[in-house]
Parts: sequence; structure tokens; C-alpha cells
Amino acid sequence: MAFYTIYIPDGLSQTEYERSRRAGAPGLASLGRSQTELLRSAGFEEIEEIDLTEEFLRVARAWGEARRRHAEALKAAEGADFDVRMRDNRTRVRAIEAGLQRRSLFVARRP
Amino acid sequence: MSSRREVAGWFAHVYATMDTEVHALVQQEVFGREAWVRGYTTPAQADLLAERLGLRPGVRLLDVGAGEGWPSLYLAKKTGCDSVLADVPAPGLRNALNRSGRDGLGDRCSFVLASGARLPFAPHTFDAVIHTDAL
Repeated sequence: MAFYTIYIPDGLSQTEYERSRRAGAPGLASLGRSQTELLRSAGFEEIEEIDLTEEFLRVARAWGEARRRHAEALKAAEGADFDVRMRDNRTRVRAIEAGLQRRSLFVARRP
Repeated sequence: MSSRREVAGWFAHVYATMDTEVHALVQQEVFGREAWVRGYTTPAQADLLAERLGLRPGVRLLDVGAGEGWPSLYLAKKTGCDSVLADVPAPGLRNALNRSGRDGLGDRCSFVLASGARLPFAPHTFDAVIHTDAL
């Protein structure tokens, strides 16, 4: 099994946690247990995490920049959603920069 | 927004309203010509999945929360594996089905309207499972 996941890191204050949660896609929330713990409890072994947060930030910024370059056409296509999506992108970029969201690849095997 | 139905509705709205030429152009500028990504999984990261899971012809891959088929259709095309795509929002799977047909993957890809929490498969059906930022 292998999966990419965006998650809220451990050790945040309640304020930081709420800020991180609001900066995610709908449904993003910390599970209170690490992905590694969850995989192990489900019987997976050889669990490996590869941190890709730096690339996550690069791609999030690239989304915002590309959408700004095509703002007029996107506004025509999306209507009021355009401003919401741009605001969400800025919020997410700031959250990643502040260390409030991370993204990793997890690889695990089941015996 | 937190219930499964609200999240599914949000994604259905995204898939229905972001399938235009300008959206494809933005995707290409962020990820390159061969990708149709809505999220954050780059082609290099998709290739890493193939490498780590040993995807090749004959391998049965399940993509949970498959959306519009990135990267499972890309992986089927590139490695020759068989892909099963499962997700809740029907518009995303419909877009994936259409893309699968256009790319000539019809006989190696299947589509299942199902949540990751209730997958209709027997144990050991798949050799490999992926998800990419699925909720």
C-alpha cells in the first residue's frame, strides 16, 4: 500500500490546530494518532514515511500563480467560486509556510 | 463542512465546474502536458508509486478516492497494470470513465461507486492499493 496524505502535524496549539484545519480541503482533520500508528494497528509492516512538504508548498504556490495568470478566463468559468478558490489557495500556502500542514508519502506492506 | 455527504457534494461541484479548457491549461502549466491533476500529486510522485509498488502488467491496483483518475489511469497507461477506481462523487468517476475510453484503457480499468470505508471487495482482491490525498 502507498498513499500521499496531507495532515496536521502533532504538537500544535489549539489555535494553530484550528488555523490548520480551516486551511485544508473540507474534511481535513488530525486523527490524534500518527499515520504510522494507524498503519501498524491495521497490521501493516515495513512502514516508511517520505516527507514531501517542500514539494507540497511548491505545487500550492504554482497553483496560485497559474490561476492568477488566467484570472479573467477562470472568473468567467467559475463565477464567485474563483475568489473563494484563490483565497483558499493563499490560506493553504500560508499554513504550509507556517508549518501547520505537512504532506508525506507512506509506504507499507501487509504480511 | 464535515459530513461525508457534504464533502462528496463539494467534490461533485468541483468536478462539474472545473472541466474547461482554461482549467486544463492551468493544470498543464503546473504539472506538464501529460497530467490532469486537481491536487498535489505530481507526475514524478505518481512514478514513485509505480516504482515502490512494483506496478507492471498483471498487477491489480485499487485507487481509493480515485476522483477523476489521476494517477491510477496514468499508472495503468504507463505500467500496464489493471486499475480499479473507487470513489463517492459520480461526476469525477464519469470524467475518469470518459478519459479511460479516450486513452484506450477500457478493458484494464473498472469504476466502482463506493466509499473507502465500505469497499465491496473480498480480501486479497488486489496486489496494491493507493490513495492520493483522499479524505
